[in-house]
Amino acid sequence: MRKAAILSAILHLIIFLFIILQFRFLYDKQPALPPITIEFAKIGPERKAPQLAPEANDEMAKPKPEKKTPEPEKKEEPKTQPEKAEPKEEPVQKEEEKPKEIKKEEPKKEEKKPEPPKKIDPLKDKKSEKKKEEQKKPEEKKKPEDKKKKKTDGLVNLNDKKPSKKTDKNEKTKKTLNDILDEITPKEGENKPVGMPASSIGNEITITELDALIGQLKKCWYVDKGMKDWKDQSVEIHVKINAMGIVEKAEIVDQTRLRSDPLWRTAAEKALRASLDPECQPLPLPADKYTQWKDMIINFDPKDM
Amino acid sequence: MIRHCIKVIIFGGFFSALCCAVPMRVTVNQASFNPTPIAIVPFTSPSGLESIGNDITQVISEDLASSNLFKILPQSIFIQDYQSIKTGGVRFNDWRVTGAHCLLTGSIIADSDKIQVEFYLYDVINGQTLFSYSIKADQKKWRKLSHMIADAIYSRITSETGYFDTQVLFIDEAGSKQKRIKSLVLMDRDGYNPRRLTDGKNMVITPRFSPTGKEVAYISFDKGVANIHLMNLETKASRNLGKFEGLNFAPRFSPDGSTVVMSLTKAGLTAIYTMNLQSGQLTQLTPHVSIDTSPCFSPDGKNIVFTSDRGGFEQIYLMDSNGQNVKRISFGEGTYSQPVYSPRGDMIAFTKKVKGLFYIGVMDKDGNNERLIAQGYLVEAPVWSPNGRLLMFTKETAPSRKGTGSTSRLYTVDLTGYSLQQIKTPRDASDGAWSPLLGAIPVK
Repeated sequence: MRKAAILSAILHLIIFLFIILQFRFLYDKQPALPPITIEFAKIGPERKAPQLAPEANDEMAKPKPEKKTPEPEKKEEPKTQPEKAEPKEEPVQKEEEKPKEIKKEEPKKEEKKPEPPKKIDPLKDKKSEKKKEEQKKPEEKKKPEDKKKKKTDGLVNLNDKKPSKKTDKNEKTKKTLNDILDEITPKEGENKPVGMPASSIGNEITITELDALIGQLKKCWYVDKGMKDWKDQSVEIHVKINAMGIVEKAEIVDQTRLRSDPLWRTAAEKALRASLDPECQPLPLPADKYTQWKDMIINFDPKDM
Repeated sequence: MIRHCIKVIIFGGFFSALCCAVPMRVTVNQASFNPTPIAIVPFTSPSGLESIGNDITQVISEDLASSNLFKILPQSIFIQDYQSIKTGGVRFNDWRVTGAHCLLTGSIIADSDKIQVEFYLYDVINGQTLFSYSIKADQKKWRKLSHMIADAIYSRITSETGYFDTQVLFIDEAGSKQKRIKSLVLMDRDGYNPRRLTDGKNMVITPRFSPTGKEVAYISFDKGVANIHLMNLETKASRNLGKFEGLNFAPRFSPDGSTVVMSLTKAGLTAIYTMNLQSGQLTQLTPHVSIDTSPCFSPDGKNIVFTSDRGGFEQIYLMDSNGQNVKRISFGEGTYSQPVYSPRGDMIAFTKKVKGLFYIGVMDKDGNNERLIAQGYLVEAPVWSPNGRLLMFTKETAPSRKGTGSTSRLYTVDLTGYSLQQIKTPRDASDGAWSPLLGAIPVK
């Protein structure tokens, strides 16, 4: 009787311990899941996805024909030859994104059409992407350097020892998402009849195209950081551009301040030169959106530099 | 009828709104920090003075290039000379291809022992004439004319006054370190025309220009006692303002030139004083409770910046010109000294010592945005150019282990920290002072 009681107590104790300690070593070890990286891309109002009509889904799923990606040799082409009308000449960044777009569109394709993924041959695309990324690295390095300059205000300061290193992966991702949205979403057309695909997708100038324009103009906009109150000297220039991307006419908007403020006049003249300088023309603007950019006001604003 | 008119107005407004499209707006918030490219076509010379045109062109080019705000384009890419511009006008479209933003041309006409210089400045990109002037001067003053032309170009392009037609005063140091002979020397800013003002018998230190640039104050030690001297640069006549025991630095002038501010030591403690140059009246501004030195007026005369160790270490303080409202404005690591107010009134330059190294730095007048722009074994005594754009300072190199080989020279650096350049001096030099702008063409 005693033995049975003792045995029963021991068994009960084992069960209680089992419950309390859970004896995890008895369970199979589940492999640790790798962390999933999430990057948030800022989506502005221009990038809101408009609603698709249900009948338009099939048509909109078709990717746009891939534009041929010219090699970086195009960068070496002299900018002083305005006769070369290449409004589609865009920086490598945008051309680079298109292979990625194709890559990201694959899962959607599979959802809608049961096609084998090898049709698009992602391996080649990856290789071409890697090559282009390597070529793009010198450009990208400029951005962290630009951001370094932003932190130090571009002025020598022997106090600074370790400039911050910022990556612009988010910008890269942002641009990629933007282009994806451009490709697959129709323009916000409130007047478009339901069920009809939006034929004007991509008719608005994208942020990427604006970045390309800003990147071009900044090369010709010379700012003197030693000038007194240089950050307060923002200038608006009204430009008229022809279809080739050449600025035909440029005018300082605030003519009254031109006569009364000598420091601002200097800034205005520099902004005017930046608008007209043949070194930075033709401007990299899309030919098919000419009606939007032919008349433009450029605000040269150094306050955030 | 009224309803019909209203409909016409509404539809008319609607269609006119459609027609008058609002231009697209783009904000550019990135820029380049390159110098302005300028093409300087060689000035034509009159017969008998064939080299003067090239000489003037050379000096103008050197002045503008030294400012680091202009890039002088090589003459090999020029497409027109002065004659073709005069007869056919400036071919702006062709000049744009050269990359020039500005174009300078000029000619020289001889008139007995004088020369008349006509010069024109063009904006190549915008296709317009910026200015045209004609100035006349003695042939021997061709360098001064060149500096004035460079100042006119600088002023028109940057909207700030130039600094090329200025002079530099410094202590010329000769002999060994043990038997140093220090004399006062005056020269052009670019190192030309040095002339001695004192004979070196008495040690002199810390020269200061008066606001007009016509007089110079300096300290001369006569039998170990400091005397303040005021010398007229035109007549070379010098007068003694008085003996001051415990005077370590020459006084600095107030902006109107009527008063000088200095520091005097009594019983080991130094205080700030002002002295009226007319009456000689001395006014004490700070008490003798610490070591207050190196006072300097602000350009508007309302404030005085100085060094004080009242907080335990040498720091920079700001007070009203009557000695009230003293407040500390430097808070960084190390010790601060020799503060100097910028002529623009927006910044203060200073000397700083941190961990055995010396620095020249600038900060806003409230002490914010401190930046160190030059460093060395020993750098000190910063002074501003008259337009507040450059700083001149003394830089001494470290001696060898034997204690020899140390040099002392004057340098300039832009307030952005770029363009460090040595000023050409005959020998070792220290304690530089910068004159105001001597001659200026009124550029609109």
